[in-house]
Amino acid sequence: MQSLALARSRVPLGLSLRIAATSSNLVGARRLIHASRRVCAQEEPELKSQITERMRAKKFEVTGPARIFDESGRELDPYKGGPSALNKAVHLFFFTEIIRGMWIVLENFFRPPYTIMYPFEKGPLSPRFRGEHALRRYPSGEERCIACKLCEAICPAQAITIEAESRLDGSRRTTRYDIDMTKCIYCGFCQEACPVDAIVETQHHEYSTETREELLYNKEKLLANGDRAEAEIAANLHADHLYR
Amino acid sequence: MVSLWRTVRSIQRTGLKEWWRQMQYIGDAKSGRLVGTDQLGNRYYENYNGEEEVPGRHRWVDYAQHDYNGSQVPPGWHAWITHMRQLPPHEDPIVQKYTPAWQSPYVENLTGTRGAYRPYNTTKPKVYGWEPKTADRA
Amino acid sequence: MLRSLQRTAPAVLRRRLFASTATSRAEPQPGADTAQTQGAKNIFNTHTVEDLHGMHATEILAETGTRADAKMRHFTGTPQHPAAHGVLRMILELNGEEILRADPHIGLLHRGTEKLIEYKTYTQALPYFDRLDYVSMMVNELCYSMAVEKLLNIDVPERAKWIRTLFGEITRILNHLMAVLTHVMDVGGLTPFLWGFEEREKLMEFYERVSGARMHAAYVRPGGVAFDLPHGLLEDIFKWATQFSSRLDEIEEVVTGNRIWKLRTIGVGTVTAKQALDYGFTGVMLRGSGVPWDIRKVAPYDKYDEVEFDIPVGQNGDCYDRYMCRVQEMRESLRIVHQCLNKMPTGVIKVDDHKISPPPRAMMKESMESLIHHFKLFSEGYSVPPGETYSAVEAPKGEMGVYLVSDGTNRPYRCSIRAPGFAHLAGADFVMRHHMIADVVAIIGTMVDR
Repeated sequence: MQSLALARSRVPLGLSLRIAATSSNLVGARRLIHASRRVCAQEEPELKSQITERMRAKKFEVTGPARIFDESGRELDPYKGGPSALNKAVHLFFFTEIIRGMWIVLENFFRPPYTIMYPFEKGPLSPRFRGEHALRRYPSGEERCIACKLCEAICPAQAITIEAESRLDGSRRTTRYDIDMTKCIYCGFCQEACPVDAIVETQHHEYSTETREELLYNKEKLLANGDRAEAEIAANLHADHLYR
Repeated sequence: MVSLWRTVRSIQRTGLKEWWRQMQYIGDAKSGRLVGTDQLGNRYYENYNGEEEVPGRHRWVDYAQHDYNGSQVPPGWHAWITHMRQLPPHEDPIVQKYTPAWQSPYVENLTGTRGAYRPYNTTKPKVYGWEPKTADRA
Repeated sequence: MLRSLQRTAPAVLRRRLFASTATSRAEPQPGADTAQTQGAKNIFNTHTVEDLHGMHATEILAETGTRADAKMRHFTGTPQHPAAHGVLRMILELNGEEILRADPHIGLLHRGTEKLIEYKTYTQALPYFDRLDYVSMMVNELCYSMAVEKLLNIDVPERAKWIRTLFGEITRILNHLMAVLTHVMDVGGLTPFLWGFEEREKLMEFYERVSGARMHAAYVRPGGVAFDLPHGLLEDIFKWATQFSSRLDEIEEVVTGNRIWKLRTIGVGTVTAKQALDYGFTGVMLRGSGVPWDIRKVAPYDKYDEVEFDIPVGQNGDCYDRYMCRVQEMRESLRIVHQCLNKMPTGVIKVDDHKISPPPRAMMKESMESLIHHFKLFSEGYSVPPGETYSAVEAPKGEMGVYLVSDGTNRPYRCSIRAPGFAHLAGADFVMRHHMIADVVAIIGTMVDR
């Protein structure tokens, strides 16, 4: 503060003018300097910045543990048995902890990198993985979904829309099976609900799109997904059938 | 220096030309057993030597197309490369057993191209416009 | 110092300056001069919003000072600062770099979860809990599931309890890795962050193997867990657990003793035990201040009364103590994981009452009764007897509580969620006052992670 005061006396006219106003009229002066706590601190000690107090407290009080007293009221010295001043000084001046840390960093530098180079190598997945949806068919080629609408009922995000009609052969099938993949939260309840294993969440997860509308899947798209990946879906279900 | 020996060994095994190609794509010199090739011409490799590859990098693909992306791996090989199946699809008895006759060929993610999927209605429209029908004048 | 300067300034200039500023004042209050000389409240010595209380609007709104003054004290919004972790908007009132007041704007992650749950069946409400605190997913699910189980008055099979304990602790490690290492990263150390994320990757693979999703698992369900552990998973978790403590040692070696880290955290964001209790802090925020409170110990749920672990407690309640608590809690979690692996019994993983938990698929396809149960469960859900309950678990960030009111139908009448970070954020103001801006990231990092 003292050096500041010296500097202040030599500041250009504008600043000294502003401060000068304080002595003549308190209202005007306060309006001028109200923003700076440092200036206010002169007049109102309780508004003084607490930074300096904090710094002081940090250095002399807070860093040390709280004082502990035993039953008879004697103070127990928490530093008893701790590192000596020489020890601490060595650590301080020779950067021991920094060097130890940097040694670990150096060790890691020579370890083989564990980065998986994504499009060429892919991270492991399990048969339970829940990715893009697909509608399956029976081995005969007949679609499985019977429009029971359990998946529509259980879907927490209400992403599935189903409409059904009887076909010409009398069997009940969906005419509309839309999944809004932007709403879907991939909880897997639909595949758990499906009594005929028609709707499944496949292992496929690389279906990001450039437009939002491409994620509004309809029945044909879901069936096409299933047609491409039927063998893998069946293999995954087979791998996990004991746990379902 | 694990990496240096690994690089030298890989170059010895694959040859300089293949190494150059790898540096252009994977950016790392890798060598391993060629497990198979899919219908798109992508080649799949594996190397289970723990000295040479860290876990997670045991299996990799060499894309046939220059303009590669992750969705070019068909489902069977995707299951293999993500360690879902231990055997590649052409050797896996379970995948072979469950492959139906009507399985359609895999298409990569065509978003951003003209082949991109566009949603459409699969139901018959429930509201029809009025089409006036008039009897022919006699 | 100032007064001496003031006296030296020429009186003419003084008068000119006062004349120019007086015109900018909207309406001079009668008697304002006297009020100020007596040291009463006025606009010119307010520094926080609380100081403005009881003032007349004309005083508050009066144009004050010059442009140069306006620069000295201002509001700073940090809506998308990387250290805000994307979920917090912080308005800081500053004097230079000193924070006079911090105003956390919560709600960037508000999705109306509680209201949505009132319109979902008990099954459907479950995935919402994954998304509340998306770094401690299974613990949130567990909290909700326990509330529903209490209302249903059912007991969970042994194996399910052990699985829940195991994955609860894995979740705790997931969360603490994220919390500690992003904290370190915010303060400046990027390297350990990447090591931690390698471990997180392995843990999320365990998540994926058991539930099918790397994060939003929907695995812990009312009545047990969704699926049994796949073959070989426990062995892999064991392999992971044997090497994890040395990873933790590495991280500690780099961070704990580091003088930069110590300078940035010791004495920063100090919370006394009384303040922590007054503001309803839980978890590490409370334990860091020296209060040994952990719901796993004081009201053990699942299998926490059968495993052996300690509760690390801090002393000074500053950021460094909380960091140490988190690291030590990871080691304790590792102990619990080892015990879970050793004590994992065989048996069923969910209650066999098919009015509550869906029957296995093989059964559903063979028996008509099971099929009916299946249809009822997935369409209507199960009805929960009327009543209300509060269940609390020790989430990695503190006490996560669910207050659930059932009116006897298949949907909760009311579901109130007590998120730990909410209470911590309420204390952001008093913790951050009179710290520097750079300390804010250190405090946020230790106080709220999501």
